[in-house]
Amino acid sequence: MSASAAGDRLRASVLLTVVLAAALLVACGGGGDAPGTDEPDDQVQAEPQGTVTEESAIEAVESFDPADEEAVASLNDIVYDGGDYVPSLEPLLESEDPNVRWAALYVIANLTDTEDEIGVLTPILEDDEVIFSVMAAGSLAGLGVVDALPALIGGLSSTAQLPYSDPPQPLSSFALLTLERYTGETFDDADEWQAWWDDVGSSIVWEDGQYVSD
Amino acid sequence: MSATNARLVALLLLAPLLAAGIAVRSPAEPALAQNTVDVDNDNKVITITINANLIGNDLQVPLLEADFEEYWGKEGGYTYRCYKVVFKLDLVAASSPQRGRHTVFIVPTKFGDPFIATVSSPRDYRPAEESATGRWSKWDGSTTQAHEWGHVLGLPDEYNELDTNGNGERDYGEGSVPDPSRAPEYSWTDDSPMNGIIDAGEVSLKPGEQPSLMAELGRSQVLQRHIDSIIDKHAPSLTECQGTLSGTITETPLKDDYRELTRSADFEGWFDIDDDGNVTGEITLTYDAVLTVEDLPGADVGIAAFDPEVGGRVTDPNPTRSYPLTGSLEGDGLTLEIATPEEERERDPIEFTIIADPGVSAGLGGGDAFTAPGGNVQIIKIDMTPFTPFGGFPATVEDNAVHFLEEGDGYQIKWDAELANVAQR
Repeated sequence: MSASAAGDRLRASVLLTVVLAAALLVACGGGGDAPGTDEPDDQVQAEPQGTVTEESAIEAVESFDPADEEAVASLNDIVYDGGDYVPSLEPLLESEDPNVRWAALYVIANLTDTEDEIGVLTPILEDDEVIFSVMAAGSLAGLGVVDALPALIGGLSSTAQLPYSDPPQPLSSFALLTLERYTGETFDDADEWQAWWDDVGSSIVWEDGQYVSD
Repeated sequence: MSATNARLVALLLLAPLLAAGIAVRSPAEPALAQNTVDVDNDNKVITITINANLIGNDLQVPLLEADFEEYWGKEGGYTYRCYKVVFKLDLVAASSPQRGRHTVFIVPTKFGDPFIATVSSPRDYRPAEESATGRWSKWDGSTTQAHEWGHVLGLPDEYNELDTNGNGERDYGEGSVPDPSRAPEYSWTDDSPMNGIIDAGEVSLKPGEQPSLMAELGRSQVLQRHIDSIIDKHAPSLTECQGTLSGTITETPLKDDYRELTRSADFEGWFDIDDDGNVTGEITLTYDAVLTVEDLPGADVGIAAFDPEVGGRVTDPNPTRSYPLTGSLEGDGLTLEIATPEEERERDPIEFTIIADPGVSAGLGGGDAFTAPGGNVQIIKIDMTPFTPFGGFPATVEDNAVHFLEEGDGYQIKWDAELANVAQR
């Protein structure tokens, strides 16, 4: 064996050693926790990023149990993830379990953005349950769906609350804020909103993120 | 490989491994606390800082900070017994959760989406030591954010989910109302048909009370009991506060064109405040009374005219008396009172004697005067019930001090108190 070959092997061994040691250091977490770094922390309770899959999204909605304190937080993880889960969750809008149906609507309404997703949500505007129609309308109002406005006006007279809202928020307050935001109008009560809609509803259009009438 | 090279390789292999082992076994740097607590005993200020990362929308940092200030940054701070309490938010934009900091994810939604903010935390959450994870929307209003920060500070919800369908479960269509068992600012009336459970419309805010931030959305507020609870969770070692007290009270029970009777008391005392805000201490009062008679009309008895000037100081043979002190500190309201019942404080009237020439009347009927036999001695009995400088209502503590002044027709009450923390467990 030549001295040169032995030296090459030595250098290779040293390099391997350094690499192994560095890997070991990282694996053992011995790199320190310098302030200002973004090291993940195993104490942190939840880390939504990258943990949601289509299957887990369906599972979270199907198993939605409002008695579980983390139930809504689990749905929020799906919304935060922002994946294309609406097609997978659409069938759950027909669930016999009203809580599952609500959970499906909650995720879909918060994820709806595309024309296809709008198509999934729009039929809910006609739902007999005002909570469902107003939740769908809130989402669709921000996407230029004019038919969302009468559904929101219908919610102004509701005494229900936005389910599981924290702190509790009246559904009527949710509807009113959405109407005011997207129409730029303010009225004293539901009757005045209805009168406004009767007057301008047929001519109202969506322009630059706002509903305007001729 | 030569023996030298072999040893070198062995050393090079071993050294990093040893270094790695040492690094693993070394005591970890102390983790940054999620909420940091600073107790400044010199200036009597408790500062609680929420350390949190914001993930998902860097632009929200200044907006969330401004909204935090709106509720938790009350001008002048809050109070906890003899401390001023200041809340601060150290919010940093980040890309992932970080040791020692809470995490708030800004969930991307648009206005009108029916998004519900949540905060997750461990059971029996210890906010100074454990992490909370928030999932909020950029559209959440300042009240909602303040409520969620309340959770991060360790406050629970104070509303009660209704069970309108009576199935014993929480369902999507059932709302919530403030829970009087957790928010005593509210009262519950079990209206007909009485069923023993809280139904919609049966809970109302008590007159004069403020709505709780943790119970409802509306115009709700951070309440003193919230501050007390937060401090208990963050600085449970805080214990007694002590106060000192001094002041005067003066009263003029009799005053007309000629006569003025003034009684007064200088007082000083000390008191301790326990964990529940109960006050115990002692007050020492030195009573005094002064009677002046001026410009009393002269008397003409036919053979002589008199132009009397009479007056003097009531001499109390035991002017200094001490009593136990009681009271309470609730929020910034300090209520003090002499613990001894008033009837036990009563004592015999003090006699004030005027000697005047025959026929001259001091005219002191208001002082329960009578003319003693002999005609030239008038004895005036003056009620000297040890009167209290406290009216039974709270005085406001500001900057750990009370400067109380109340004046009215013929009286003035003025006292000052200083509060200081004296010990930590």
